[in-house]
Amino acid sequence: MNEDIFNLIPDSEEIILRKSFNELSPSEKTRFLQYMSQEEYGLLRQNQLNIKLVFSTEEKEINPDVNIKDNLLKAFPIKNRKTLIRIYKPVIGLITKRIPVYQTVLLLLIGIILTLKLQYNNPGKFLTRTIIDTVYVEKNSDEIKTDLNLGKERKGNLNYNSTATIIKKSTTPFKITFNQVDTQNVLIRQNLNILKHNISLVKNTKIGRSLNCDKNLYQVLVSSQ
Amino acid sequence: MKKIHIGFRDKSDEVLMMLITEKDKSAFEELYKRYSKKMLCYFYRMLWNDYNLAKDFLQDLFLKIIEKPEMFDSQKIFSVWFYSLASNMCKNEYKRTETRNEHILNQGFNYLQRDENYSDVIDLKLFKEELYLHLKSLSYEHKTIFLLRYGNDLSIKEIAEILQCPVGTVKSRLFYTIKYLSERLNVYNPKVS
Repeated sequence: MNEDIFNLIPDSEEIILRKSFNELSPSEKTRFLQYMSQEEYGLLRQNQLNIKLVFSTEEKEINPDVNIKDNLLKAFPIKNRKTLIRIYKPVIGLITKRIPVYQTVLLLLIGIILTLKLQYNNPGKFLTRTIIDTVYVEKNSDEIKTDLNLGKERKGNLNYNSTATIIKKSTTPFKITFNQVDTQNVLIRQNLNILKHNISLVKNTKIGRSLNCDKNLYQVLVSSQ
Repeated sequence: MKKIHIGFRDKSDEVLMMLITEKDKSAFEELYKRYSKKMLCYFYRMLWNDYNLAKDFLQDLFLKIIEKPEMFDSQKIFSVWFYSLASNMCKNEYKRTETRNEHILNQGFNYLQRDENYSDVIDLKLFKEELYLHLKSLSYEHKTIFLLRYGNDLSIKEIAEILQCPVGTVKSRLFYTIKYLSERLNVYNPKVS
């Protein structure tokens, strides 16, 4: 069996795999016997079958590592616009849905009517404006002199001889002079710049700190009159 | 639970590749599912049964798809193209480790001389060990044809396309590989009915 029978006999490789020598047709037997003996045919077939069997058995044992897939998916670039559109198509559809003009106008009218009706029923809520804002008082503790004992009595006087700065959000800082303080209510004599404001409460920014040794910020609620 | 879209199962490899070009992750997952095991087995057998090396090659192969999906010509058959990539990777590895191959080849022949002592053993496990031993002594060309045909069940025509050589050459190399292996494996041949 030295000659290349795979080229000499058409489809011989497949025939050997598929048929034993006894299963060959007489013409096939004649063709094969020109190049090999029956025993050689049998051995060739046996080897081919065993090789196939080895590989198919082995395939059950070889499995790709899960990490490989994870690594590859991490390396996968972010979806492009087309893919995103496909995923978010329902949402996009909802946003871009065309609504007839008359429906929009009708909805706006209903909204306006309801607002006016509510305003008429509860005039105080809409006409009175109360602005409550949180501002911070920056001051140096060295500048504050106090005889207040916050720890026990939670009342007393706090005299500020120096000035402190109130920084109100989005406004230019202005100066106030602290005159008298107790823990619940703070009365502050203000300079002209904040004459219209009542400082209703001074609260230490950090609970547990006494007022006179706080070097940081004081929170002040300011309501406009 | 697998998150592969049911719709992708019906899609051809070529369509999946087109979707991968548009960075569709699910298409990639489907393609990975279809080919990862086949390719790992191919690499494992080609790369001297080195499982870790085979895993690295598998990752590199799929990374090529992620990084440059446009390399694939949509007019061609994906499996042929993909196996071509894989076999080229192996070819380069064979070139790189030529010395190693020579060493293995010598090992194989030394082992052959001891074969006669085991003439009565007809165990499939032993057959497998011997098969791999003799596969190591084959050239890249003979081995890759043999493995694509018997390990990955590709047709002779497909193999010819993958390796870009005539069908006759594939048949001839396949015949001489089987003949070579048959002569050496006969003593271990378990009888399979």
